[in-house]
Amino acid sequence: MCNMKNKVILAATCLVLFLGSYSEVYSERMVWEQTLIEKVANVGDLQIDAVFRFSVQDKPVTIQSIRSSCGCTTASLSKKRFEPGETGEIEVHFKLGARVGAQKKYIMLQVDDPEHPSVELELQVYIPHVIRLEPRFVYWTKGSAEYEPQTLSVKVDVDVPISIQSISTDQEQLKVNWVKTDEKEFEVILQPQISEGEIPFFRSVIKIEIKADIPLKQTVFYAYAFMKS
Amino acid sequence: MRMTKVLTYYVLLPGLIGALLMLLHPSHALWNEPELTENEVTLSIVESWNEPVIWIDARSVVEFEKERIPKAISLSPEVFESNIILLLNEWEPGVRIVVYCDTQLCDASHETALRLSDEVGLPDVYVLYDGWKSWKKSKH
Repeated sequence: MCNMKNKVILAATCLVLFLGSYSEVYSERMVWEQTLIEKVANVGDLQIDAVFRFSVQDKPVTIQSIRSSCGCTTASLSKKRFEPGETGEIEVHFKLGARVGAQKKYIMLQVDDPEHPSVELELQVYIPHVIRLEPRFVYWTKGSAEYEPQTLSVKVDVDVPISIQSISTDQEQLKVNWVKTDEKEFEVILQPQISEGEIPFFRSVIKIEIKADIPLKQTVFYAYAFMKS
Repeated sequence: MRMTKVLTYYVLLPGLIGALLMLLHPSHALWNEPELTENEVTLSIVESWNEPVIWIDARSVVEFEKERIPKAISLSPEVFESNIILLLNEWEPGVRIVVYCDTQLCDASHETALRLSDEVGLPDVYVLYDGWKSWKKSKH
């Protein structure tokens, strides 16, 4: 009987400890409206702003430090100490610079909550490419019996008519042609033409000039073609 | 006999349950190996390849000029366009590329790695877990 009682006490103690450990994890002093914000930048945007809002639960909180994962992102808050029941917000400013595509920026907070000393906030931004050239690098193996043509793709991400103004290479041994494959897409075809006995080129820089009806951040694009051994 | 029971109920069993709780606990940490994302590698993994790799430094040019991994190429966002040719000159098929920034808290290494694989079209591009900090720690 006594043995049974011991087992029950032991099982109950373990259960309390287990549940207690979980409740510590989830009883946070700060409750966030969201820790992830997703945005899409417009063409021409220089900066994206986001606001992360929180409320303080039953104990006061002091934010000891804020750090961002990139020099391009700054985060600020109006004060450091918040009393129970108060709300606050972290303003985040992400300078886009020349970045394009999917971007993830993180803000790390250190707070005086012993159970949850750090908080990670995430800002995801998609910056339209406007014009995307991919890949920007192709290569052939030197000494091949035949050099197959390789293709670069020029795609337009927005509803703006564009055209290719010119394409040039710095190598006579590399011939370049382009075709329009879609309203918003061009293919640039690269074909080495090396006569028998000629030493193949080492590298070539391909310059592509784009013309559009709107002002673009970038109108000249470069791709690289190499002969690798 | 009584002593064995006491040891079982009050020492061994709680110990086992405690160990189980630690493993199941949502905030438990792995002590030996960090959790790596898809293209992240630790310095020990890079060293285990036993092959030369191309190191890409995604930190700022100022930090790069102060100190860097030997033979690393600077490809921070500010010099990406001007320096990409240095990497393409160096790269040969089959050679792995490992990008690093300051620590696990920076994201420039992931940003640069993504550009190298998606935009430039290079294969085998990795990110060094904990970046420059892990290199410094291992070499000192």
